[in-house]
Amino acid sequence: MGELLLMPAINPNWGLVYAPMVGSEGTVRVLAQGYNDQDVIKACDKVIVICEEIVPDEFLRREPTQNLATGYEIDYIVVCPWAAHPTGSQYYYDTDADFLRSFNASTKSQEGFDKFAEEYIFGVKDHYEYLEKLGVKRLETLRASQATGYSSRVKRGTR
Amino acid sequence: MAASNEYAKVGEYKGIDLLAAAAAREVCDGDVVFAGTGLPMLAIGLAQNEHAPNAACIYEAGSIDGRPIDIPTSVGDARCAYQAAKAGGLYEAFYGQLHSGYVDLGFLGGAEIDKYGSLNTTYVGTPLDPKVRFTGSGGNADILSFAKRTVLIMVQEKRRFTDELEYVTSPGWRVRKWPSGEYVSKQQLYGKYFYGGPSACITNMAVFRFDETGLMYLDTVHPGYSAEEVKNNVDFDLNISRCSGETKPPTYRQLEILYKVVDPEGIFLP
Repeated sequence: MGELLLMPAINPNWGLVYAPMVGSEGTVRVLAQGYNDQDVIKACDKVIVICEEIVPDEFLRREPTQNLATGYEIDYIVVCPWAAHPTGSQYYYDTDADFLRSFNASTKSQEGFDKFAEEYIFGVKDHYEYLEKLGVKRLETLRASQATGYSSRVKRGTR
Repeated sequence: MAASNEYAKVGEYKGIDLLAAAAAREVCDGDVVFAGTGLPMLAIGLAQNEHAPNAACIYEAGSIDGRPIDIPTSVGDARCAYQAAKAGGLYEAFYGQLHSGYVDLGFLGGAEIDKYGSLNTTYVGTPLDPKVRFTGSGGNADILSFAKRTVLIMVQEKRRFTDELEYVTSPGWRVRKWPSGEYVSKQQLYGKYFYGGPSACITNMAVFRFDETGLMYLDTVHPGYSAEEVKNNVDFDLNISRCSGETKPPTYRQLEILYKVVDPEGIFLP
């Protein structure tokens, strides 16, 4: 069969994970598209979870099969509404395709990226000023339906 | 549906419509399909609305047999997971479905393809300082390895249809054995984990298939192109003797399904 290579596992120092809901005791829940976050959490020495909201742990423990990680597997929780923007978060908000398209187009060069960073990262006082820059209309259009998990208001194509 | 099953004429459809129809024809009813964004989503949507209502779809982010009512724009889109049988995560999609042998059909693209259907989606140039670093492998290697059939969607360019890949991201029917360098069949390498390989390659000019020895040959040429033109856009000696004629264009019904049902918002279609 030939030579087989045994690759060592990757164990990063820090893991940065987004999960919409984290419990008061640190239980982590991701809604549907989990990728391989639960393994990222286990593989990293220290884990920061950025979330939309902290909910009573009791609420998450009613359905243990829906949970991704326990509280003792993570180290820090940061509450940051709209943290996933411009990507989406199921049942919270849809992907901001316009923002991503314009980001892609304008940051192909270093100067382009520096301009973007100045406008959206360094030039805003805090996360809320970033959200204010996006504006209520944009955020409301992105807000997901509780039925489908995504937004039917956002214009995605050319028609 | 009012539209007929007659084939549309040249000028009545766009290139992407033909690609979607040709790709949709590769889907059999009941297939478990592993797909990416863009053209595969159009193809599967069309197939499910026509001849393959029981085809099930898996997307890389972990939605297993999702039934989107609105076309997703990425594999991680919430729309993929709507009414999914299982939301399993990345490892379920790859190890639980692909490696475990459940996937009948995969759709893939690549930067380079060789005569045995192997793909390069990783880089060209030298490994540590490549000329171009592409977006692969991603799921490409797993999908081409383990799907029973894979349809490769490529742009027809001579530099892409190359005799020797600069890097083998995903193995086709034959690959060079290491360290000797001689070609061996995927079946020999994979043993009991050999489930199949590339079944077709669809480009903006033609449809190719693979013969009994795993070698690519020209099957049909799209309207407006000739077999010679296709051969001139391939850097290896392409067999055009088995060409069976023109690729069938989309039918009026297929165009109606694509534009009214599958992608009414105009995300992938113009």
